[in-house]
Amino acid sequence: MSEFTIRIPRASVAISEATLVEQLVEEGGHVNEGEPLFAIATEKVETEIAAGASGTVHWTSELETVYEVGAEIGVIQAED
Amino acid sequence: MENDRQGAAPSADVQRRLYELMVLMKAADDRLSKGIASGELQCVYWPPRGQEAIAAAVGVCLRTDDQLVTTYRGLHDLIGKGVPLVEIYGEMLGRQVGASRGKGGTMHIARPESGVAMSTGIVGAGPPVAVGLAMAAQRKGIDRVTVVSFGDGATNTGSFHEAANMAALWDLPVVLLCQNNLYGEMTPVEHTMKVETIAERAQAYGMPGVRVDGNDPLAMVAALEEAVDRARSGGGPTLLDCVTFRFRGHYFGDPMAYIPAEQMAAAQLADPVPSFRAALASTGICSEHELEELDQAAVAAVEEALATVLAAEPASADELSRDVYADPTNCPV
Ligand SMILES: Cc1ncc(C[n+]2csc(CCOP(=O)(O)OP(=O)(O)O)c2C)c(N)n1
Ligand SMILES: [Mg+2]
Repeated sequence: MSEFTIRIPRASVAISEATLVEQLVEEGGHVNEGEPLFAIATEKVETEIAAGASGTVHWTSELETVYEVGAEIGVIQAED
Repeated sequence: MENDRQGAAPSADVQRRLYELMVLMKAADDRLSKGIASGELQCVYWPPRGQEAIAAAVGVCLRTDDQLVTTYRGLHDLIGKGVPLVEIYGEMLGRQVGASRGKGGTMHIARPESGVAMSTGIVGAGPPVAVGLAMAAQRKGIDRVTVVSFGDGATNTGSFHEAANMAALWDLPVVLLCQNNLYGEMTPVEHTMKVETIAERAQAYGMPGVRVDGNDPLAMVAALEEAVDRARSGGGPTLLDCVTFRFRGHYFGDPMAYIPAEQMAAAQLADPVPSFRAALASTGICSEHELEELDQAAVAAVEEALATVLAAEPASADELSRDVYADPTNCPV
């Protein structure tokens, strides 16, 4: 079963960290590639991040926590 | 001077090649953008999405030994000049398979085997380097042409002025290829220059200046071919003002709040990749089936290159001291 690691994206050139402000899919819920998956805040700008793959979402992160760009915050497990 | 596709249109093979390059440039941008946005890929990126027609013309008008100097917004130019995707992605993602073995990053991609002398992050730094390359060719009697690609904003720098003046004075074999995407960072061109076109700046140096539809690959080939022929035959430099647009803003993740919605909508209607695709279908140069094959081949090439890069080793620590001095033990102090 293939697994896609969910990471904090470099949402803009100059950021090094971001706050995870919202998980838009609940633990164990299904997401399709391209749908909104979580939201991060950087320098007072909030950005919704789309899923990079389809499957079941498992979070390994806490809300309102600051993570470095590239930090692992969950996985998407393919369902087939 | 306006260039409006004078002369015969390029052959069907050349037109097909132009589309093949453009769709590869777009696929390479789409995949990077998707990967960076989702957190899958970690790199900085200045997207050239929308400027593909200009770089595709570079691809079909230059010889491998002709030189290209480009910028941080160079993904399309590098693909056009024949740098393998693995070496471009590899450099952006800091892997040993990168063109600069992963230590240069997005802004510092060079590949002498493809005639890419330099990429730079310093706005306006390319033209003087290109003048040097052109001067070397002239002095050595080599019939090689140098093309330097830069933005509209770069034409406001002192280094552009110095380079343009020297290139014209000495009839150097160089083409000044301005990719005029109407913005420098977040500032529209009309807020940074009094003149209406970049092309008219050429008059001040005594060289031809041509304004081209930078979204039309056939107009681009006509204009670039003329400029390259002039340079190669000893006729000196040309300034090409290629009017285009960048759809993803200045840097990847740019919210683009400064771009008026009507301007973006109009630019999208003139998107060079779907427009040229439709033109090839309507002139019958390519069948829908052929176009689909080219689209799929581009996506497959991009996926294959990315898989190779992701499996490659990161840049190694000994790169830190390599290429710094010719001989670090015998360096004059
Ligand atoms: C000498 C210098 N000044 C300022 C900058 C910051 N900077 C980076 S890109 C850019 C805008 C350049 O605009 P343009 O030449 O139109 O190129 P584009 O980014 O639109 O392709 C600026 C001002 C820089 N990199 N170098
Ligand atoms: Mg610009």
